[in-house]
Amino acid sequence: MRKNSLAVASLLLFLAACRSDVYRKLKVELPAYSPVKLGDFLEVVITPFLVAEQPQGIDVNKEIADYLKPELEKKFKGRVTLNQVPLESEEAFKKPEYWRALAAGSSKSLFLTGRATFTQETRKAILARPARSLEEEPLSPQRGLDERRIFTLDVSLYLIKAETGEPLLQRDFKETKSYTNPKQRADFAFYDLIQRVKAKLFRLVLGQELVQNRYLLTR
Amino acid sequence: MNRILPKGITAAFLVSLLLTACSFLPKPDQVSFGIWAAEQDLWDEAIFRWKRAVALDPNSVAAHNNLAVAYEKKGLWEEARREYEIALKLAPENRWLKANYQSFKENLEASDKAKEKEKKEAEKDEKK
Repeated sequence: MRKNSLAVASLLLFLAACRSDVYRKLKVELPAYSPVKLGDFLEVVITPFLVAEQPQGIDVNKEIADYLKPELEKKFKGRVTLNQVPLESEEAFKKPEYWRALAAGSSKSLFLTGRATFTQETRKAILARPARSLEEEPLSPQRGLDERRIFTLDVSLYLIKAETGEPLLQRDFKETKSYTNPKQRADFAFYDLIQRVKAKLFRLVLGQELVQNRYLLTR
Repeated sequence: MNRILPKGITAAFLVSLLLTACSFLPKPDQVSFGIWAAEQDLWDEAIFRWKRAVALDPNSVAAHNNLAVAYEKKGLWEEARREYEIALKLAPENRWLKANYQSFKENLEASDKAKEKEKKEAEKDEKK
């Protein structure tokens, strides 16, 4: 009996020591397709946007640059810089020579620019709250007028390749948000809306990462 | 003394058994180093190791498969496809390799659809 248990223990030990897996299962974050290969560039230059309209007390260009620069730096391995040369007109987007001249020889740069409109308006909203119970409001639902502050950020964004001066990507983003606070501050609303634009832009430019299982073979 | 001796012999036997078994284990090689690097998220190092493994043994299914995974991780689709195809030629029935390739192909098809959509939108913009 004792000899048998020793033999079994020896066999188990031998097998345990010999054990080596054929594969290793790994969760891998895989990049998805993006029309822009950001890795091909050494620098992203944020240039001033053409701002058609903005509420008083807010500088949309400054806000865009202040928000996008650190966000891009988190995701982009190269440099992110700001260019202060203002755009003269919309024609500039279609002038490759303008962007080539602005690049001044740094062919591995990508210009991030575009048009932006940030508007605010106050709208009257009809309230129609259904009665909660017969005891509370036995006759009809409470009705009335209330004010809503609505902000809209309309961005037409261009990514322009410095080497050729041609747009690599052009996309329009329109984000609207309604606030129950009629005195909602424009800078706070801008922050809410630019976050949405950023999420969409980054999804497009960087590609969403997929987490998938892959098997690495050991032999 | 009589009681101690059998225990000592048993222990010595077990240790020698363990050492013998361990000697059968594959020695750390380029493929294993690469796997270790990939597990630490050091994919460039892993690629370097697996490329060396391929140079040493061009018929290493593990090295080709692992390189394909690393290229996928880096977004180098064409290189990944090439390595998967070589690995599949060498071991067409390897189920882990087939599982990897299947997922890779599905991702690629999704990318192609996205590219197609992108192209159509660009054409639409041009017409505007």
